[in-house]
Amino acid sequence: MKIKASNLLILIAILIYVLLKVAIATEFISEYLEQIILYTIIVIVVSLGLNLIYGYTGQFSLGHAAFYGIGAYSSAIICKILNIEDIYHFVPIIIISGVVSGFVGYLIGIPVLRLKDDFLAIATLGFGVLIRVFLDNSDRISDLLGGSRGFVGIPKITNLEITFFTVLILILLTINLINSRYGLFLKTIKSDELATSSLGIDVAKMKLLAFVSGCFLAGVGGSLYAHLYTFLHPSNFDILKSIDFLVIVIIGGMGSISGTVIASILWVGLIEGLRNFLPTEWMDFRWVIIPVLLIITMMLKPEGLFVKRSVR
Amino acid sequence: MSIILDVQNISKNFGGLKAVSNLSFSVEKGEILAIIGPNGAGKTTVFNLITGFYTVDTGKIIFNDKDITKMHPHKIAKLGIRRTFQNLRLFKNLTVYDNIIAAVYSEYNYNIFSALFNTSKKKEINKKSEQKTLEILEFFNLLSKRDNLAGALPYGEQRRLELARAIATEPKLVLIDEPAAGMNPSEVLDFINLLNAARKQFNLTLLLIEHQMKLVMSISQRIVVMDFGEKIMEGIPEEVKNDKRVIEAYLGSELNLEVF
Repeated sequence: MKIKASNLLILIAILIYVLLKVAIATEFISEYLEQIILYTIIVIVVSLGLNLIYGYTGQFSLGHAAFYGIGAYSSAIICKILNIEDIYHFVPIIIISGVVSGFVGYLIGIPVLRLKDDFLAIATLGFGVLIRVFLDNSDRISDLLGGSRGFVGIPKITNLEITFFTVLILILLTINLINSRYGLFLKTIKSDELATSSLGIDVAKMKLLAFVSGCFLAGVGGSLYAHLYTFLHPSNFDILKSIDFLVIVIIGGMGSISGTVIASILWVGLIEGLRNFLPTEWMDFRWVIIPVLLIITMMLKPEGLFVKRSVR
Repeated sequence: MSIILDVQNISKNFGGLKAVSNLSFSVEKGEILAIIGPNGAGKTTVFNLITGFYTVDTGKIIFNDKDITKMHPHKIAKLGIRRTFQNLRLFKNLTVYDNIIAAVYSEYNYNIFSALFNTSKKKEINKKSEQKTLEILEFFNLLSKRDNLAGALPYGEQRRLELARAIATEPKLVLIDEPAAGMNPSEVLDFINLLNAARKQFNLTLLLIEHQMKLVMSISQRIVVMDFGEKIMEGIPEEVKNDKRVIEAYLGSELNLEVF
């Protein structure tokens, strides 16, 4: 049954890809819209990372955008130094960027994941601020990084193929992870840590696994992002961005992969879509709609829009 | 008979409170040993010390000739000591099936690579785990509830599920903390039968904390009586029943004698 489901998923994904490809080739989709679609896919993979950490394992992280930023800056600097501008050399860089984020997540995770709930949130928030300040002053290390002026002149490499298939593969791998013994342990940790360790499961190790995987996904997203917009600014990776991902995970439903995908599309769609409908002076109103949506979701369906109701 | 668990002079203080002081006892392979004592006597603390959730201040705990005194809870559990909790710690928002298979998976291992790439090893172990889980569910009469959420089960079944989860991997020693709390007399009777059947089926050694004297007296071979963190006596049920110190410390007054 499960094999059939994943085959169906791949089939649908390829169908979507072909449709997108045709739409772009026939110029049915403008270059601007294509960029937004790619951005949506990137948001999906980063949110998926946070869903692993928070949605499945229940580790409340407010610093997710920092790992997204680490991936983006790593990718940009490596490509700049190595003069990489083509797609074939870009593939390993994406993975390396993810690994760098994952490794930083590992180093941070060992001390920080011993904390729970609010304390963990504060610690990860602190890490997020730390990275923001670091990036703001990064020009003191190397002029290339740009500091608070932003990182400019990043080669544009990200295209539909690389974004779509990288994210597709990562989604499939995440589904496999979730449907394995490890995925179940993550859920039991969220449900009851003490009981999980009483079953002989190393809770600290499992939390770290979720955290590092989540940071890896954020790093990959960051790498794709850097070479899509060719410009990075520290403000793109601060606490407000972390909250954006958090909102997506919560609205989509904690511990739901399809929910995360749909909520990401909805989120980017709303933010970018309303740009076309709202008069200029009302543009900032977009940032009111999302919190209102969050409040309504919490009131009507606190477990997320795309998740079955469960007992609490 | 060989000794499977040997508790040697353990003590545990919480601030100024002596929760457990200088306690020693041992559990023999295959037996059922009960720990009884009034509320606050330190029984659950003893369980938490054995399973590593608390660390002892002084003393030693030996399990199967291995010193487990300072070990992490998950390592102790891996060695074959499983437990239930006084106030039920089920994975409430997971199904009955997932509650059991989580325990089974703790013994049926495959690495992260297999998990990500759906190797044949993963499929094989998944199949084995599934089979084992269904067997356990059937034995504990929970098969018809397999897709129910654990938190939605009636209380008695939640107790049964927690016991099933502790026993699922056929551990060497099971610590059961007040299984009959909140059960009515007929449920207690059912539970005694279930415990006896499980013990035979899975060759269990049990360490039991219980207040329901009917359960304790009918099932346990030996009883350790605690009061204020100390062992006041140890013996077979008949001896304990008639011991004056026990009656004084545990029952308080003669009026309560009829609970025996």
